[in-house]
Amino acid sequence: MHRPEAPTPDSGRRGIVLLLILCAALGCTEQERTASFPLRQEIPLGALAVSVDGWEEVGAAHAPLSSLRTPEGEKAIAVFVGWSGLEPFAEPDRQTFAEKFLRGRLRLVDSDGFDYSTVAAMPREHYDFTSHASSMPRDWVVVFHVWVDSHGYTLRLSHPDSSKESFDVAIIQLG
Amino acid sequence: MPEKPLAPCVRTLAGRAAWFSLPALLVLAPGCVDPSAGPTACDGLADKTLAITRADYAECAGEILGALEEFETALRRYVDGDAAAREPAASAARRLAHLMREVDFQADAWREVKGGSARTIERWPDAAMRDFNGEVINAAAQLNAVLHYPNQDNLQQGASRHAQARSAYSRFR
Repeated sequence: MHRPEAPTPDSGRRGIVLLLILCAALGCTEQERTASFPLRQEIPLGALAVSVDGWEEVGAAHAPLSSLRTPEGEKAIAVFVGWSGLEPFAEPDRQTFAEKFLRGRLRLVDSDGFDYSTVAAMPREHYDFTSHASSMPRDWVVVFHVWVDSHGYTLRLSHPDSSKESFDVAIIQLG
Repeated sequence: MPEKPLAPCVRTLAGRAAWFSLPALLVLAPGCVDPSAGPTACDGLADKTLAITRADYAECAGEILGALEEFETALRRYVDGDAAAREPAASAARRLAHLMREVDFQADAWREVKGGSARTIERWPDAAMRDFNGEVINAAAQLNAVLHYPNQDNLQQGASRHAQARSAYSRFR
């Protein structure tokens, strides 16, 4: 008859590893904390803040920017974002920061659950193609390319330092 | 009188306790004995992971430059044959390492591995500060090599990086 083996240090170690795996699978995985923000309300990001001020479908008569041209079957969505707290930074660092942040931290989700990453982020003057560019642009436009028949958009902004604030992702219903 | 041997289960528990406490000891011990670990202008910077400003960093960067200066000066004497200069060089190296830990350059590297250079720009929007940090990391690596194996080549490279760090500092202080 086969007798059970006596416990060894190795079997104890295996038990600890299994316990850790079980812990990770059951309860130790962090839940994503979300917070909803209405349009035009400031979303705090430490010393900085952004607000989502509105959005529009980019019309046929848009500025001559390649990021606003879409392939067949897609359309461009422009989301308007306002910054505050960037005053301590000089140009061009400020623009580089704003562009990298918006491009990396924003995603658009439609009502069918399709998730779109940003195509471009630019100062509002570039989008409007106005001749007088501000030296410190506060208003920015983030461009997404979405399916042409998509609708019901939600913007998701992932917090770069969620340990300090009460959310990991800010949710903004665009409609 | 010979000591009574411990029961196997006690030995096992003691072994496990040591096993689990070893990482904690490794983390805590340097902090307990390190004379360089006092209050600095860099304290708390590790917690700031978004948009560090010149006002946040200028004083800390000045302390980092001061530690680099002490480190390089002592190393020059050490490389020239003054064995007594090794201890002040090692002390300045510890001070520099402590300041760099407070700024948390290591986490910057980790973020960049995970999310690309945009993650570094998010924390350090100021290009002069990014240049400064890069030069400090390289200077520290070169000078630490001299501390372990005294040689002119690493010393000159470290001194050159240190000079470039000073130049970058002058753009944002």
